[in-house]
Amino acid sequence: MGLRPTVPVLVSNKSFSTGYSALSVVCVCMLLLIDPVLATSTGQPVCQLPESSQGTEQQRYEQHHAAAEGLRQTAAARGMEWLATAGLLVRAREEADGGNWPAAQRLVYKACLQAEQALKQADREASAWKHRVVK
Amino acid sequence: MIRLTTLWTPARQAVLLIALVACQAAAAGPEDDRKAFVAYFQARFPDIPLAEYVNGIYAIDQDSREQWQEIEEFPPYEFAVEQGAALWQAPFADGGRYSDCFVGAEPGVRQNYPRYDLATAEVVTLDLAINRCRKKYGQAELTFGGEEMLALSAFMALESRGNPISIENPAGNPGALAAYEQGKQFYYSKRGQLNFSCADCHVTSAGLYVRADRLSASLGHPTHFPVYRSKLGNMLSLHQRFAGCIRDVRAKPFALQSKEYRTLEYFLTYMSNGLEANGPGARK
Repeated sequence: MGLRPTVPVLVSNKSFSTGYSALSVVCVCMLLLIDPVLATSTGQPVCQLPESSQGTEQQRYEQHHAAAEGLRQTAAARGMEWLATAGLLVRAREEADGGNWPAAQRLVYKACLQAEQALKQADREASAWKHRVVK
Repeated sequence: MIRLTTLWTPARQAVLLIALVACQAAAAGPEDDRKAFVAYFQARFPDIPLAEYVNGIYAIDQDSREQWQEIEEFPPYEFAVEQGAALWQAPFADGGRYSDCFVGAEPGVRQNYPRYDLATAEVVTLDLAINRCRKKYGQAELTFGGEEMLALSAFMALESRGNPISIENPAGNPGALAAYEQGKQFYYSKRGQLNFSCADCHVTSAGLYVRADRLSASLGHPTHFPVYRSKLGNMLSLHQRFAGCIRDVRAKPFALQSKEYRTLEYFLTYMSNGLEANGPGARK
């Protein structure tokens, strides 16, 4: 089961109505692409981090950090790492060093989601690029 | 006697059509790609002569073109070219020279790079060839994207002006073809958090605005590098430009002269085969 951080629900699928313009839908879609936390709140796929109620907050954090870092490295090995992922993990480490576990977990979660989406992109693009070749 | 109508059933027609399309797809090689690439832009911008694409966005954007032409009256890359000329002429400690490493002992060879090197089975760009030369004569390699490397490549680009880009057809060698295909895949693959491919901006959206700037066409992109970027106040290599684009779509850039960028340059330069080399350039 994936980790779902507590975030305010800013956007919900239920909030759409036929009165909303196509532009609004496009804007929200772009926001979802850019901000993984927003994506989570709308029921988008969540990052699969190991779930554990055992151990201290630090142990749980280390477990999640290692999982997110593993995904990042896999995306990097495929040449598809996103720009901000490593930086999110660095910031998460800084928060963890300061004992701010909720902030650290939130950053690790964002990094994990980015790496996971990068890997999905890599899978998709392994064949999708062929359809864009100018013929 | 077999009647023709029994052979020519709709099902058989469909099978034959599929086979024909499959054969054509398999046969589509680099030269077919290049012709289709050129034809796309000529259809997209029918008023722009083919030779104009070497000027990048200034082939498309007439307002910016006037500013650029004024900048070119006092070329900001002149200092880099002078520095490069001095570096080219200076002998190495053991008496070797850059001219010993290039065909015809001439600096005007930009149009032949990148090329596929059979001995090392890799794509060799001009920058890589410069460093190979230095290594051959016991010199420390120059930093890719560094001042001296940019100066040398700017000088060599200037000496190559007017020569048509002449990349050998990769179809003649399996290794070269594989490298070309890697570059082609990179070019058309979406990447980064914004999910953009090179082609999304420089094919599909060429000529359209992104904020206040118009997007250039990929055709002719590699002909004018390195360029002097006014906003940076220094010279910029093609691979540094690649890295900038990759960063813009929020993907992690690769190292300069990485295999990814060299194969991308190989593909892109082959697409511009026949266009004149016109580097170094000046850009905003």
